[in-house]
Amino acid sequence: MELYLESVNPYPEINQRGSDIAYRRVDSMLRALGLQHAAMRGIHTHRIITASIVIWRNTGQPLEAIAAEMTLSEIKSGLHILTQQLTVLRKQLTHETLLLTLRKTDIPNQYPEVVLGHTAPNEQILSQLMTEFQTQNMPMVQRMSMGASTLRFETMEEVTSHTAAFFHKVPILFKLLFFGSIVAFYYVIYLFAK
Amino acid sequence: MSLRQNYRSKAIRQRIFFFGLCGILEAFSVLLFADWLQRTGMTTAKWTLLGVYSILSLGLVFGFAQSFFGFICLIRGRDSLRITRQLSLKSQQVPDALESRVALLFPIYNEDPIRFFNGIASVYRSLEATGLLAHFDFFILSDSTDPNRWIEEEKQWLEYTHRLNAKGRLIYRHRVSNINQKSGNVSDFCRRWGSQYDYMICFDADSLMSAECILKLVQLMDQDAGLGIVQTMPGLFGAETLFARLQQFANRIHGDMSGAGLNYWQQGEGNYWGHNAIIRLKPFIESCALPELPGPRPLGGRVLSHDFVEAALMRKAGYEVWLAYDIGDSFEELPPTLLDFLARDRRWCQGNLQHGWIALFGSIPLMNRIHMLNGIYAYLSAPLWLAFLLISTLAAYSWERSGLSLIIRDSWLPFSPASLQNHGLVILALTLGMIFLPKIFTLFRLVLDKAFRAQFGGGRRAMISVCLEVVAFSLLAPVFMLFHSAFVISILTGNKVKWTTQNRSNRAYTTWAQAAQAHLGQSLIGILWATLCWMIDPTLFFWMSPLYVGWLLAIPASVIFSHSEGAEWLHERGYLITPEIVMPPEIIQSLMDYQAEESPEPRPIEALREDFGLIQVALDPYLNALHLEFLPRRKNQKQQTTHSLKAISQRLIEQGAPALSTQEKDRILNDPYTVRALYQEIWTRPESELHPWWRLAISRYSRRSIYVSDHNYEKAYR
Repeated sequence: MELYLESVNPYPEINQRGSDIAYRRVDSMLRALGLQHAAMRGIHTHRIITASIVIWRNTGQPLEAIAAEMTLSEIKSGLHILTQQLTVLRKQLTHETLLLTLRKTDIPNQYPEVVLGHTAPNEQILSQLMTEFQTQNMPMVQRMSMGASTLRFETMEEVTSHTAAFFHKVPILFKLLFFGSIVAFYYVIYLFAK
Repeated sequence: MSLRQNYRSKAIRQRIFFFGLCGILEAFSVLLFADWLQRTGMTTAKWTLLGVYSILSLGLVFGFAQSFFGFICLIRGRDSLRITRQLSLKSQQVPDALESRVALLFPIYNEDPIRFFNGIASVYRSLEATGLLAHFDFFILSDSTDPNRWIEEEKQWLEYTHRLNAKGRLIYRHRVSNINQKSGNVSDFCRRWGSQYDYMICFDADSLMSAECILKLVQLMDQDAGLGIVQTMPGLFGAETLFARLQQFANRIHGDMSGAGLNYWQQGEGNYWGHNAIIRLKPFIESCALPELPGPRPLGGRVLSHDFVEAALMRKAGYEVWLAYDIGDSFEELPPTLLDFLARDRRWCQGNLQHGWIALFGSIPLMNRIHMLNGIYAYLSAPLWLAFLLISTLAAYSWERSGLSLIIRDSWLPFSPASLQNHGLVILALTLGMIFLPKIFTLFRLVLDKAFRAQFGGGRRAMISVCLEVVAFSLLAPVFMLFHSAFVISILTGNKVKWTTQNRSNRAYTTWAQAAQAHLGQSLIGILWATLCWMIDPTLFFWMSPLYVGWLLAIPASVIFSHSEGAEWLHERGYLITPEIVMPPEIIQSLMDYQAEESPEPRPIEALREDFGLIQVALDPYLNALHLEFLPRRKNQKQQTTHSLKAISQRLIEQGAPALSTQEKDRILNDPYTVRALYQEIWTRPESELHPWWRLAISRYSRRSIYVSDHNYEKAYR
């Protein structure tokens, strides 16, 4: 029986290292999105890489950058379709809010084709999303003043300003005070030492 | 304003007893001391000693009187003027309904998010079980500056919101700039949401309060519109190191007496300790804005210890501030080691010394002035004691060198002992009595109250534990004295303190190197002092021994007390037992259960650990979205700012996160445009243009692989 090994590189036009990098990049993105099923993730990654190679052939840009752009674009279009459908049903969601709602569900793992914009969401998915949807219910912000402090230091202000003015008028006194403190300090030491 | 006007005459009578006793004891001890001094002739040194002793004995007298009256209240079993009794708070009953809305505030500043949220979850579940959760909203007020902590907080907020099914009841807010630290954090809440709630309850990052405790506080506030603040008496829990366990034991066994004594004289003019208290929001917002203190920092400028000032302002506005010392189930953790404790004390020292401005020159009620002076005394007494002991020793040295004979005069006072030596012993006995009699009161309580001693492991063991605690803290007292003296001097000479995150973890112990660095100076002082005393007189050497022995043993004590083996050894033999150990309250048990849960995610690999928060925001679509949801939308950003952020962002991508400073990472994380663009940029960059650090992050990124620790690689890929 003859055995022959087929090439393990499914993208013969591109070197293995290049396709590897691109594959891992897209795989990481889909895994980050929540597509945990490895085989399903592999299918979508392969699809995206294959489509990216067409663009790579025409533009010569790095394959991983093209593939990542394509992946992000598919995710964005999937989120756009979902937000439109949900807007029809209830209320406007931003992409961020939708992502946070998606995170609570298993939809990216169970229905990646919906999140990647290939299939329209069915009633069940929309209903599940609306059930899970919760805004961060911030109580209405009514900005108000904390008021001004009712504590005053009139006595100290008067004392400090008068003292400062006095020393300003008679600067020699300030110097005398300083040297007087030094003399007092050594006098105390002298008293204890004698 | 209060409905309970009839309590005032009783309160005045109690204050007369209290301050009367203080006055009598102070006069007695100062006269006795003055008499003793004059018997061998007054000198400048002795006048100084008399002046210092007068101040120091005032503090001792005050503390003793507080313990004495607290002991009387507890032994009699009826303190009719405590606030819970006045308002007939039913001890066991949970109310069927509430009228008010309460905000529970959980400020956080770079603390462990997991422990923090576990605490919140415990409180949440506790309130949920009462069926009254609808009246409460939980506000997580973050001032965290560490990007990792910040992002982890957001992530944990999301996780716990789902887990608790909090449905908009758990609100997270991160401040861009942490002006005024904790007080500014709370003020920000008051500005944004304060008008929508009747009361707020402030927690610390390590605080716990059960639903029953919270509901009792709310009931008190509902029943009397004249109450501004009701402070609980937090018990310490969670201690694992020997130092922390000793503290916890001392707090729990003496705490009731201390609280009852404090309440005895302060009544409705009490104090606020910054957490584990309920506050009426309207007067707080209207009247409790903090003043800017005159003069330069560290004593001037913004108020560091805001709680005392807020209590004074609340009183000034005409509301009462009470200590509900008998409401249990209010807890907090404590620093695990001596050095951590002292680091916290350094901050508190500055805050308390700042109160000098207000205590001396601000127009506040008299009782609040006394609270502030008490707080100042707690730290100022250290250099005064040091000065007292130093002057005494130097005076004795000076006398010995003089070679003069001692001529003893008659005493002025009829009750002074004839012998000079006995006279000195009486003064010493009086001083030591005031310090240690409160411990004797506790021993009496253990003898008289069966239920009380059962909580602490039984009578004999509890008594031995009290003795152990007394010996341990007598050993550490000279260490505290020197450190506090250094704090006071450094603050008065203009050295500021930064608000740093407190170590609340029991896992960090003090190494010998750290202990030597911290305490070597003290040990040297101990050697010098001991030598001087020996040269003067062996008797003086003996009398001063508690002082320098503490300094000489500071290094080993600091290390040994920071470990948990000693605490475990004592615990196994039934010593240093507290009620929380004998029968953990539900709220603590709930926290322990949460803490015991295995984390679903192992630690990130070391190369990515330090900037893990940033990695998650850059690579994870959900955490990127979450972070963006929290950031305010900025309009009309200056071109200069945009360019600056772009430059930092470029450096981040080209050189990796380790190349950026914490401030630069903070700037990026605070800008929604940069955060959104970063996610797009990192993923779509060609491999050759990415820094190896980012290549590593991307290649390892997944919800599992990024967390793979070096030891758990196989487990993650099972």
